Amino acid sequence: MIRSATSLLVSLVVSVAVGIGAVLWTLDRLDADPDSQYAAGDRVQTAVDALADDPVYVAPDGRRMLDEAGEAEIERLVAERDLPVRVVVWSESGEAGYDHYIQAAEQISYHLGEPGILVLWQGSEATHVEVSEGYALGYVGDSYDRPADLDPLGDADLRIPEYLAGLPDDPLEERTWDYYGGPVGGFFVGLLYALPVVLGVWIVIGIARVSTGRRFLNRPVEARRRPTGKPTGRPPRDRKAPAKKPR
Amino acid sequence: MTARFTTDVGYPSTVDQLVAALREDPVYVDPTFGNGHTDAARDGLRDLVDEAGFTTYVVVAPAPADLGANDPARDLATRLQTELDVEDGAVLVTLDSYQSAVVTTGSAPDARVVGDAATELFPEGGADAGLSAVGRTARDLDVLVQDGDVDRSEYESWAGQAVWRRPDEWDLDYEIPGEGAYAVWTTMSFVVGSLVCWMLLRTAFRWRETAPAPGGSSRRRQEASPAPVTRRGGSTTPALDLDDPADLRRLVDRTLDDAAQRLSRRGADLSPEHRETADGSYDTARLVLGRAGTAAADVPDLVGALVLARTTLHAVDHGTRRRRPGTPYRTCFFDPRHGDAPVRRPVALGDDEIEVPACRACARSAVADLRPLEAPGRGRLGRTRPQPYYLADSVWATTGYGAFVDDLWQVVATDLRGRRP
Repeated sequence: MIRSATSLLVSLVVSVAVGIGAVLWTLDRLDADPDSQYAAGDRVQTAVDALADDPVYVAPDGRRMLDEAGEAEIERLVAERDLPVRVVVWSESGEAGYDHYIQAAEQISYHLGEPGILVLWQGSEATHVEVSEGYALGYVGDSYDRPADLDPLGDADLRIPEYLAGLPDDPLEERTWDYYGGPVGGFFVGLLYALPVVLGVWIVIGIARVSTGRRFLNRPVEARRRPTGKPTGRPPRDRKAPAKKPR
Repeated sequence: MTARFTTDVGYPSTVDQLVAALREDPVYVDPTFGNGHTDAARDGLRDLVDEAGFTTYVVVAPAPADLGANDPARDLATRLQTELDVEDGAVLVTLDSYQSAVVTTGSAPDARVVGDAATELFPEGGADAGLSAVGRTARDLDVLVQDGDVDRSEYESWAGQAVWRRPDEWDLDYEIPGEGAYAVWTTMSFVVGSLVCWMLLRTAFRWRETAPAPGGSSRRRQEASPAPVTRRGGSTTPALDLDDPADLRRLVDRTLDDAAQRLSRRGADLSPEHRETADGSYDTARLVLGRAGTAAADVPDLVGALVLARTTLHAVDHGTRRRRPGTPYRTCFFDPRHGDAPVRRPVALGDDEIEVPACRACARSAVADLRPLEAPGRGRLGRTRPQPYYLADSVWATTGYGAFVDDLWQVVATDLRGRRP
């Protein structure tokens, strides 16, 4: 009895400790997840470093698309309206350490670390406007219109100022949408996800028990047969009958 | 687009600029072609160039202007070879993911070894799978340096290194985990972690306890046999091993001596029926004991003598005139060495079920756990094989050591007379 109570307590404490350990590990993984997802190559990192001081970064290979004058003009426009806008001008490349140019834009946006709009100008239709994760472009004035898209055709020193002019005063709108419906919804979804896993492990453990001659349930073998035979209500007379009649 | 910027961009954008750059450094990897690891890629290529026993120039860059449209990479490689006066050496040019060329001259290995290695090791194609442009260039240079003498694992190993491998595929659905995601995964990890741990621990802790029947668990076996008997034997001497016929015989002797003493002291107080039971059981026990030896095969008889001796004790203790007539002495049907049978339990017998007296341990046991007293039986090929005593052909089987009859001694005595030689 004492032994079983002790083992119960030990199981309880160890299980909770393991559960907490699993939570800590998961938290660690979740925290590290975006960093690994948005791990940047040297081209992206150079752009991120440059944007820390200056809202417009023109890579050497992008200079043919935007000269210093155009760059200065865009910087002036961004500063004038205090827009959370960053601009990267570089030439398109499929060999610069990212799988897709929009992925590069996402990486830059993530590593900038503050909500904003990133214009990635590549001088072709492969030009992209990235809004920080968790935000969307707001409405223009009192209308229900989103800002006009950036027109990728034409000169950067025309198209980008044109786009900036079309942005609302406060261009970012925070999205409160959560895929799992927030912490409470997430909690129940977590239970839902955990259930089949636990069930599966339970079945596997049960099969392991059965395969070693034990019961599927974690009970002693005897317990199953405790109510051996229903009471017959008959006196114990039978073919093994006494050789002599009892008194 | 326009030519006005091309001269001052800070990177070689014409063939002449490339030639100038290569004179400084035989490896040119453009930052837009560095696969995110431009410096490491340059270093790796420089090592390979140093390793080669011939002059080597490597260009991994976007195509400069004014190249031939048909095969710009080969055009550039040939022009570089001419401009740089490469007589015994190689020029490797990679202009994008698809355009590349290898040109060799003089004593350098033939450029064809590069293509041959690819078709030989990957006849089905796919030699470049997973490799970036700069990685492919490095691998091809390696093949060239080794004059085509590379095995498949070496050839494939380039795609396993971060510097040369293509970036992982862009996961369009990825979202930075929010509050909901944190709640989901922490809940799940706690529930799964703790419950799985709990189930494993409970199974481990109860592993012995839940062990299957063959022989029952060791704990059950211990409580099954001798303890009650030695207590009943009324002795403080060291516990007897009742599986040992000699010990069993000692116990029977001791019990009979005890019975004889009590019988002589209190025999006169007994009712006639009890007196008869006591005397008859005592005498029969002596007879049985006298005939039994101390071999394993004698155990059923010795047990019978023990039961008869205890019947005597029971009759003496419960049979005084003042008391109401008691019930006959019942012993555990499965093994009388277990002691008295305070309860009954059913057992299956063929299609039928009968109730027999049993000790508490046997009453609780599963059928598979019951370990009835064994008697020698006939096995195959004339060998003897132990079997439950009640399946043997003996008076103990017919009487169940008193389970089926009230006056065991009479049946046994009759049987003894019948068997007397």
